[in-house]
Amino acid sequence: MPDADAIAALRALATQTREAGATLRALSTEERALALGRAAARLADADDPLGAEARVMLAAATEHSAAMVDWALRTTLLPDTTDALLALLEAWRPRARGLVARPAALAAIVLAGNVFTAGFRAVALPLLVGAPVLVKAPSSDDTFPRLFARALSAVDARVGAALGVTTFGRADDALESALLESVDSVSVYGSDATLQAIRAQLAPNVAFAGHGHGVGAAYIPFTALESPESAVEAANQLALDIAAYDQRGCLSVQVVFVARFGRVAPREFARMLADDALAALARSLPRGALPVETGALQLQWRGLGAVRGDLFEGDGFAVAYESDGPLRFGPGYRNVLVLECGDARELAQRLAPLGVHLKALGVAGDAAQRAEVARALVGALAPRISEVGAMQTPGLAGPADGVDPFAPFVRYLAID
Amino acid sequence: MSDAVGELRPVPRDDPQRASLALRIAALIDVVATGKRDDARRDALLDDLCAWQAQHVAPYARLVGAAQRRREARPDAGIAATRSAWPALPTDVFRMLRVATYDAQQDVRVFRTSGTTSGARGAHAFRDLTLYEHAARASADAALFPDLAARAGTSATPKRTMRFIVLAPREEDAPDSSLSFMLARFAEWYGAPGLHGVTYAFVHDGIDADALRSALESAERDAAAVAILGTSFAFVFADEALGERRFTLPVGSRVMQTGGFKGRTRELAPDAIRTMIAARYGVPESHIVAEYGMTELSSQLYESTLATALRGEPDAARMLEVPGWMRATVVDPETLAPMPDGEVGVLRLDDAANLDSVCAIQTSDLARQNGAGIALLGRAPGAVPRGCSLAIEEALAGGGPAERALPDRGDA
Repeated sequence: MPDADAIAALRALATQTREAGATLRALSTEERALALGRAAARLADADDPLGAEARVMLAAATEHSAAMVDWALRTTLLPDTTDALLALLEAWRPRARGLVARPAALAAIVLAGNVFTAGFRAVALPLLVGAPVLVKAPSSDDTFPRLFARALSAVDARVGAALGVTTFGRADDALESALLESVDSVSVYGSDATLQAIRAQLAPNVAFAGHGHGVGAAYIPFTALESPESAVEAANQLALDIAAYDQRGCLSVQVVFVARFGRVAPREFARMLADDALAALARSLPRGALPVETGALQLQWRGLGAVRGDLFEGDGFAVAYESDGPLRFGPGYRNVLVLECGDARELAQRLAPLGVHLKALGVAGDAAQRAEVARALVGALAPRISEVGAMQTPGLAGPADGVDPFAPFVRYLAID
Repeated sequence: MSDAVGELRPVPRDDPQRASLALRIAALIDVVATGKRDDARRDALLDDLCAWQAQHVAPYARLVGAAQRRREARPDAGIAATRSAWPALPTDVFRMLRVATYDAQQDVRVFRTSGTTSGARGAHAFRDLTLYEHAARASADAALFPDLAARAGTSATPKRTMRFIVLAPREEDAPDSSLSFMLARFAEWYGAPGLHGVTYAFVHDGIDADALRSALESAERDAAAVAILGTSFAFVFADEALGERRFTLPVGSRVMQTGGFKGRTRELAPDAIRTMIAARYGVPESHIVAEYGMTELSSQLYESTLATALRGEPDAARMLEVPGWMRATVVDPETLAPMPDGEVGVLRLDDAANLDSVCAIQTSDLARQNGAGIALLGRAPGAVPRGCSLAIEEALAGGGPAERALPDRGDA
């Protein structure tokens, strides 16, 4: 039976947050961006009491290592957040004369639990354009949004009042309905099934943006394998993309395609990636605790890797080199597959089945390499293409899953 | 290592080493069937089996080679702390590669799992089902039909049997189902003759409610004890199909249920299934026995509640008993070291009856060792853990396991 008190409390929170929208919209864009940037800075700063508390709470809640939590906060909540938010808004602001932007009266953001800092951009963008936000966080992991709400209230109560956080289980249909009935914009981070289930409940006047599950892949082209030094550099950068967030995220590298016929062979690159690069990160950025159910999957994945190719294992990581084997995904937690590949066209063919699920593609080498890969991609593939080492730190610029990042939070009125 | 793997030769049927191992396995099963255990003998046999299989099963040879290299590179970690020097082959390998000591032309039967999210089905090939039957019968005698087993199967005494209701496909309809094969053997060994002797109340799209109801009513009417055997999922379907009708089956009636509900649309806890079955059929909970089997194994594990009750002993904790020719080890997934009693780990099973494949099997089931028994926890809720990749694999495969029909024991 749904808890009537819980439903009433959620509706009251929605009303209160929606009403705070009036004050939020009365602020200038610059004031809102400044508040968001200052709140981010407090959490990023390990010497700030709130930043210190965040590190303790997040390590406990996410089961990441303390070093990983610190790295994630520092690389997501950058010092130039305010300017980056304003630049993003400027880049996407409609330029056609006669359009009037109207922010959502209340935007719901349904977060997933895999990458805790993913909540920052999700929450910051609607607030930036003047849409108050009601975050629904997973019951197991609501620490970051609640910390950010506290930080925001501390730096600017007017903006902080426009961010509400609620938590309930995925099976609590009554609370979910109450949430969705209260808002006119919904953004969902989660599985495709979650996206579909929520979208099906929405009234026609509710804007929707879905951010479904995804994976990352990386490509080490021939040019990055021309010398042992360049290969080492690529391996070291790639290792960070694998280790970040313990490979739980939708941008996490699950498979690495390594060009054949380089001076460093793909198998040797796999060995270097494990024995040198990931081993070093295991010391400087240790993996968090391995849940036993993930461990069960890891046993299967690694065993199959050992049988089908070569498995390079260390404490808290493994690289399976499977030559020309099929694409297969591991359980995360720093288990990555290395396959051989030819040029960018072959890469595109191998990646094509992933379609929109491919969210990040790291390419070793210079911008020309990335451009070549971008031109080769076919079908529904529309990942963010970055250099390796930067896949998990996308910054605030750019579209959201290939579309206007502000789309669900703003409606545009045309005046003819 | 790869060169050595390339030199593997299939084992001829009359290979003397194979014959010797087969005799040792059968003899151990016979010893265990008398109620004795000889774990030292079992362990020695398992070691010899692993050594022999590593010479003839290419995937296992590669796994053994990898474990050897790992031991050499990191002598202080991992397998050095395990109970067996031989690595366990993950069940996923059965989905991708042939796991057999011999050529496929000699297969007499291939059991397959019911499928996975990526679509590939695990396959366990047999050139000879003698040991499978031997092990299945010894376990069933002990756990399911101890009251019949005392006199069954010998020509000198009348064979005692009981009525059967099977909630699973017939063997001829599902020749690649190890469960259907086993239940068909049970029906031959323990099933009563005659019109109501063995009823298959399962059709391709679910439960044959009329056949089930008729068999249950006749059992009540004739005061004839009945054994109902099937998957947990089938019992849920049957419960829905029977509507309001409830039964009070005659004394001695019993239920064997197998398999779980991982990833299915309707999930029920084991306790809830048991309560549902007891209420529906009027059998005591002690007479509802869970079976754990896997396509990749040749032996099964059962709860001992029925045997305990028939001996008149007080109820014991509900756990899976490990037959004496198997070894169950709950391992730490990272170090592979055995977990302390009561702590959750991943279940490794060494099954001596797996002669012509690989006896050391690494399951992905979570379990807890409780003394001599195993408490099976299945997969943790939401087997797709934090992270996205496995959800993608499922999406790319087009539909999840919830769409599949009744599970085979690969889903246990």
